Amino acid sequence: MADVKSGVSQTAFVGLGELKIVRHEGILACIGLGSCVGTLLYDVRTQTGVLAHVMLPDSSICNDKDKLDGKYANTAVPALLQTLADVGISKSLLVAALIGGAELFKTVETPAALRIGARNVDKVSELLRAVGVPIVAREVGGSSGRSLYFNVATGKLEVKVCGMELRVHTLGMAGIAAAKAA
Amino acid sequence: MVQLDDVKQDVLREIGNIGLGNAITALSELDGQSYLITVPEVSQIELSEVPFLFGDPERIVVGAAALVTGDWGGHAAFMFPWESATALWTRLLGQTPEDINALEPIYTSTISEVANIMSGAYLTAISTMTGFELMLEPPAFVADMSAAILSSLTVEALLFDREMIAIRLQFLTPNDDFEGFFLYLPELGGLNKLFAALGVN
Repeated sequence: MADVKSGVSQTAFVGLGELKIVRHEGILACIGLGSCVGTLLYDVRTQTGVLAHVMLPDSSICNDKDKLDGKYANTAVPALLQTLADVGISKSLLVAALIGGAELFKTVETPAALRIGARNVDKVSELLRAVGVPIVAREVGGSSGRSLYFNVATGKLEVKVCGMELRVHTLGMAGIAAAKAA
Repeated sequence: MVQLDDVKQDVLREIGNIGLGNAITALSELDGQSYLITVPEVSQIELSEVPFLFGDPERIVVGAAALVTGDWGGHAAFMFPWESATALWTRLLGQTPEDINALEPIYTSTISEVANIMSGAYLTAISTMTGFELMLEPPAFVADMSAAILSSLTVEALLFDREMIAIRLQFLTPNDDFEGFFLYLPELGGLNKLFAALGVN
């Protein structure tokens, strides 16, 4: 299978709680997503991608001092949209992809309130629905970690899981059409 | 984050040393061979650096996590990089799985058992020093890319504004060397509760 990264020299790795934008050419990547959710918004017309590494559903959960926009679902979604607005991109033709939100330590008895992976996914989905951005690719839940690599030029999204074949999604006009039809 | 002055670093180093002694004894009893384990280094790292504890964030690691109950409850985990787990399997079973998809119960239960013994060695060290009563619940096996495991633990730590203790161990044997990490996420009071029990402020 062709590697989505082949021929691309620039990769922006988006670490815990971070948010990064890449335009025209390059790779956006989140490595080793466990309960975190890689939240990607893509504008195919301008070949612009913006990716947040969301760790927790809501900033009211803990009172920490660092101000990482991508850390919480409720701050990440507005920050993703604002980052695009800052470069003149409206939300009208955006598509989204959600990757991650697994529970790696499933057999440890975890109360529902602490199942962070599922709560992250639910919260990001709800917030994207509220602003009308369709989620055209989703690989969430389960008990395995994931890495995502997104090529902003081609709209190809590669998801890597240990011991499994790479899975590739295509984000772009086809994705938008499918989402509108659904 | 608790600032670690020299005295606090010494406390953690001492836990490391006592745990080390316990671990060597337990491992030698398990396979009848001798181990030399290097003295652990104590350092304080930012939570954002935790996913890189094992180097390459996509490096496969295996181990077990377990709930700890008692006077200073939390989550304990002991993790081995894949290559180190392979060395352990060879040593203890005389065979190894080909890859992560071939993890039959014999392999997962062996790692769970060793990880449990190692976590137990460190929790016993903490008990010995503080008088805390700590009970280790049955372990849950996990095998995945290191950053996924470590970031999930980091999120748990953040959720309760906790710190994490991470102690790296290198096992040196005549045939092969391997390494592992003991991780502890205390639930209530964080590290301050440990230091308070020892009269260190």
